[in-house]
Amino acid sequence: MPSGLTGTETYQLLARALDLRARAQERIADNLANQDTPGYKARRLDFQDALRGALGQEGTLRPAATRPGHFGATGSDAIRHVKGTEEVVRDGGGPDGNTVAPEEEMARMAENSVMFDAAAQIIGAKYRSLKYVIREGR
Amino acid sequence: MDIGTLLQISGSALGAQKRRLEVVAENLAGAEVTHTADGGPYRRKDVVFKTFHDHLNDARGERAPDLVKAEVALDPRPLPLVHDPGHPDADADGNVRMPNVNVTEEMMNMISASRSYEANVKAVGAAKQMARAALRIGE
Repeated sequence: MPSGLTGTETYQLLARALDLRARAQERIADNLANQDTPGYKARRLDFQDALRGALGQEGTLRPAATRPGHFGATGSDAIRHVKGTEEVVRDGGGPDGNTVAPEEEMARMAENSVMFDAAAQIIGAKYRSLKYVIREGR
Repeated sequence: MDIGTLLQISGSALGAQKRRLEVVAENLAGAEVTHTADGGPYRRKDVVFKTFHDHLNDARGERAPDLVKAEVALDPRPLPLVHDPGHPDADADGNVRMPNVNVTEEMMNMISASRSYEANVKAVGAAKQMARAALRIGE
């Protein structure tokens, strides 16, 4: 493993995905909580493209950092800085101006927690294989 | 992973929806009451949901979660006048002021409140499951 045992791109990506999924869950909880608040505008966190973009950046050319001022050289930085963008749903509300669609939020919540679970499982599996190697295969 | 924030959001909503159910129960109980402690017929109560922010969350430097609370207000709609000469509270013309509660409306409100409550219970469940998944890392 090139940059430390857990500093690889995969670990960074999984860790970031966990964090962003947790944030997305906060927005979903907000929306579900405010489904009866007049005038409330639903929000969602959009980060998949940004994360994919950051990954692509690293998959290609990675310049060497030869001086302290060089930026974008350490592999995992781009991933670590992915924040995602918050999108506000303004259209399609009911007569009270509330744009939360509860069934949509429930579906999104199910998807989000499954994806969170998946990332947690993969990261756990990676640690397990690391442990296995440390124990010399026992 | 901040399970506390998630529980705070859904918890505020559970409390607000429960308040709404309580108000529905009060309205149904008062639907025929022509003589309240303050005198006069019962006036329907209505719940208005409002978003608020807990300042403790501002310290995180991120957008604070949108917590929700239920505010109770009196329904300003007029009290209907019903002709019922046999009623003890009837006036000289035999008319009685009745509460402005519509039972059908209350039943709809009740169903809506319990559905919203359920959705927020599901959100609490999802938060718990996510926290558990995170804790299993490295096992």
